[in-house]
Amino acid sequence: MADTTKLTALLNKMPELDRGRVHGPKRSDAEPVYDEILAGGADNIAALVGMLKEVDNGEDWRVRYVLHCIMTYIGAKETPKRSMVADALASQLAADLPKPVKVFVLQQLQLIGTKQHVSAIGKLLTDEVTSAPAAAALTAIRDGASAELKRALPNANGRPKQDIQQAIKVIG
Amino acid sequence: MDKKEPRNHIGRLTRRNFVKSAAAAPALFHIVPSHCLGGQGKTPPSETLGGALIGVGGRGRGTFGQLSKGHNVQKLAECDVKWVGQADNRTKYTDFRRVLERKDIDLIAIATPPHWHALISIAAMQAGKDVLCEKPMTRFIAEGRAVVNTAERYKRVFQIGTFGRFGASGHRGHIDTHKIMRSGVKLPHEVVHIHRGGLKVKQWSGRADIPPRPVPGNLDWDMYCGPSPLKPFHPPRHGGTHRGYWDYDGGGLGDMGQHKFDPINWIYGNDDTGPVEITPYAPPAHPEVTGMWGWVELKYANNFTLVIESGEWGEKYDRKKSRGVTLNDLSEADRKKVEAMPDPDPLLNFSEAVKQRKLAGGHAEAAHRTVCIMHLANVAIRVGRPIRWDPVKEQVVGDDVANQLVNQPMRAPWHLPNYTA
Repeated sequence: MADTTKLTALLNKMPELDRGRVHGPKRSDAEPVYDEILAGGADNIAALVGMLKEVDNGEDWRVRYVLHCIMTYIGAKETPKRSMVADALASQLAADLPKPVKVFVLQQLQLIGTKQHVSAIGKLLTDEVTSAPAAAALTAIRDGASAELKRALPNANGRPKQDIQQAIKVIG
Repeated sequence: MDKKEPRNHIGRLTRRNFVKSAAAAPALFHIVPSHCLGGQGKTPPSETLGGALIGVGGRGRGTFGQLSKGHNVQKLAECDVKWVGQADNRTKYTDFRRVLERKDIDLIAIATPPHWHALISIAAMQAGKDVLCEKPMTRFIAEGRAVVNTAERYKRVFQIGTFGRFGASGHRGHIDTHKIMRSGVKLPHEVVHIHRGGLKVKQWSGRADIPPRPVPGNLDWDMYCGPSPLKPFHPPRHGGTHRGYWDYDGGGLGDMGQHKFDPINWIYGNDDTGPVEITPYAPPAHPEVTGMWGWVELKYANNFTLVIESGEWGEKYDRKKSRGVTLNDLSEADRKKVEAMPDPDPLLNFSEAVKQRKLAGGHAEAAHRTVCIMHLANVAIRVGRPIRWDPVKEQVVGDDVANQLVNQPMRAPWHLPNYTA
């Protein structure tokens, strides 16, 4: 289990917004925070996802910021650390979380997801709220995505159907 | 080996040219009113081009003014997604596709936010229109290549809405630098151009603390978001402050980058290539809103380095010093080679390019290579590490996240064409 008090303390190392604007920490100050979160493994990633609010009204900006920064920090190449984070994110797609939170998770998987996450993402293809970001994530991943999209297509209508059809066309 | 200047002719048989040549045929001769032939003080209709403005916000009037400069253009239509309930689909539209269906419209001015620039440019050129598009040309790099391919495939004139290169290309010293850089001679030393300030980085840093609001009744929010993800309506996402969101633009670099780098790219002869290594100095970037950065160093394969420094965050850039190159720096043999090269052709403005069916000075490839500087700087800022760029394949080498930012999936039904030129 993640220590949410410790996680909150780590998040709070990100400097306050400056009149709403992210002026960010220096990278040398931020990276030890990411390393400490990553050292806590998948539980920490899941706990951060659990801290996301349904509505992005600025209250949870540090959570969004740090989660995304971890993606870019570890995202250059496939490594065990990146796999751990992507697996943890993908597992949250099946959790009882608000759909807008899953949309945020899908947008991160668009950056670091791989073939291993296609099936978890594919389960969100037929929902009106999640279909577009799920299709975008699969389009970005490409490898193995086509079969998943084709599997979902017969069960989709309206907007999700359009999203799936386009993703199939773009992937080719 | 000299680099080739871009092909200049984009010849075609236009509707108007066809009408002109058909009108010259005796079989078609008949008496027509003088105003149709353009009597004294009158412009014949065949010399008047139909124009339309898509995106009628802050830059709309200025962009249409650039489109109209130097030839007779009658504005026949305007289009904006904020006109729900007000459009008559005759002169006022909310859907640009209806505008592009009109055969009486020849020229399109685009002044929407940048996430629409590429798709509307492409659709307009596919429909046979010439395009003047507000800067920045695109939201991400793959869009630019699709615009270039479309302009070539459909033989349309494309001009980006920034004109710094027109002044730069008339300056003797800049012409010499351009020729040296295009000549293929080995540079005698590293050439470094440092551009400091004027990039409005803080001004266009987005706000991460704004709660969503109901979408205004006059705004087609789904159409506004278009190819970008459909997000809740945070008021600054629309109406000029869109620059602070990655979904639509690229912060201060998006606003000012193409202006600032356009003359630099011409002077240093980089209209058909790009940097190979990009090193950022910036804090970690937010997923939604643009933020601060200090400087970005962009190294080219030919020993040229461009440094862009915001002067608005962090420590000052001190890795290299500015250093140009002149004919006097070259060996005698190299100097003679450069001096023997003809000066580049004068750049054509949009109206001349339309009349002559030639490439405009700020044509699609040049605009794309310029906006790539801004995009690559932003990609490096967003991933927070040096990236390596292949300017031929137009891909980041060895960085998956950075590559995802180069070619971003679009929201259906919007997508880029998959043809090459």
